[in-house]
Amino acid sequence: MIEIQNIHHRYPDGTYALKGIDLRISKGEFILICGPNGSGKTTLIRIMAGLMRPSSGNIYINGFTSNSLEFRKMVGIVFQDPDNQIVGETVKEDVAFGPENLGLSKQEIKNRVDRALARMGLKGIEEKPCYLLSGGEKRRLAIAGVMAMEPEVILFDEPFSHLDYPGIREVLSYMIQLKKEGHTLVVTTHDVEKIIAHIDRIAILKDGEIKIIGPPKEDLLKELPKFGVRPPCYLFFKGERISWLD
Amino acid sequence: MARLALHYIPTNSLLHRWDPRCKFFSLILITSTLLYLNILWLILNSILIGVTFFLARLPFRRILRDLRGFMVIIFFIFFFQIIFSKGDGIWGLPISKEGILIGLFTSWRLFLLIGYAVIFTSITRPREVRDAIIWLFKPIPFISGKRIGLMVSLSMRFFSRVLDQAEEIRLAGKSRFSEFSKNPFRKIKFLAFPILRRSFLEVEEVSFALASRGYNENYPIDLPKLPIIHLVPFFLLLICIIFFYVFTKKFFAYKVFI
Repeated sequence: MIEIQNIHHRYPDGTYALKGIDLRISKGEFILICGPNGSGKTTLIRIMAGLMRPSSGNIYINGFTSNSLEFRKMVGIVFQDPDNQIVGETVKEDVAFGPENLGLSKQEIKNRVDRALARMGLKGIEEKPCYLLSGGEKRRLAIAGVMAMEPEVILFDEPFSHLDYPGIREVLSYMIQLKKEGHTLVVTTHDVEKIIAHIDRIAILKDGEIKIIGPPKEDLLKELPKFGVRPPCYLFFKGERISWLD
Repeated sequence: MARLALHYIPTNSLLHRWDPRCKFFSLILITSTLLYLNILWLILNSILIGVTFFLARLPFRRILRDLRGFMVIIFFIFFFQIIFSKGDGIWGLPISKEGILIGLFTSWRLFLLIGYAVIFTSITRPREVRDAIIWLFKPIPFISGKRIGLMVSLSMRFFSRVLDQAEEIRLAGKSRFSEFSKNPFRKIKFLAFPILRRSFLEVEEVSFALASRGYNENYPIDLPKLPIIHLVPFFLLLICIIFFYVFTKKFFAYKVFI
């Protein structure tokens, strides 16, 4: 479904952020892209969202290139810092921002906003000013804003940063719900522990290259420290994969 | 992300190594010539900007791309000048020849000012600017050079930070198709308000950060002596400007265009 072909990206200061990324992601897959700071995760996810153009290489979703409107309609991105993403004065206004831009009818906008608010547990605080929301609520609002666009693919850039334990569990449970609904999820984080129990595949990114990719099995996870990523705790105790929701 | 304009760009050029005080004086000197709304001065300044870009070894095309937002503002200024300036209408349109000339000159001058700002911030660290200002105000009693220096250096940092944040917010908006919105006021609302809110929050954060790290104005500061050799380019620039002034007065006594 998502096809990334030989993507290179170089920043104007000469830094090579991505060096020949090749990746195929199937429909409904939940994939984790992990790597240390500066490995190119955010650059890759922004290119996947069609927000940045790679220096070279191609990316397709269902056969559409990243230049096309269809591509952009199929993909939504939740930014690392929700404060950058939230543009509305109130919760409802922010969720309606995207559907309004698509030029949908008032009724359709209302339906989508209501659905997104209900799914993200934001009903009852629709009129609350966004700056008064807690960290977890802001993250949920950012996801709701994306949900209202009804994309097939949802990209999460470091979704657990700045969140406390209940906030992490909350976001994680919404991710699992989205996967169950058939969405394709791509998550970037250096914090493998929180999500490892729920993903289908893991890709390790370092110095702009995918070093290893595959199902999150013990052999692969043991390689994580080599690439600057901490393996999940259960690996040290030779136990089963532990979910943060258990 | 990765915007270069109005950030310090480290390279090992002659201009980067030039003493910040001399850079500061030269900037004041050269930008003061832009007060003359005269085509000859504008041409001279354009040539100077080109030369300094070359000397500073800055990525010209990339920086020009970063300044697209400013181009839009300059275009609006040009547009309003040609519409609202008095003069004889041409081709039966509500625009005048005088308006077009004033619009062109004003836009050109503004573009040059932005160019100087970009070059100065690219070759001078905010800390160096702060030290230059402290040095400048040192002999003047009752004026806190340290406070002014800190304010100027923070403003330089903030301005580029605000532009970076604006870019992040623009990208976040783009991911939700903000460019499809046909209402310009709505576009401005969803861009300007978040930027303003973030800027105020950041100012608060920085003031807390300064306080938490024990900032006070009485800290000792060691400013190096101004190397005489670094004054040579400044005086060359001064001579060049005086010569150019005399030249334009003598051979172009009448006003060129305006």
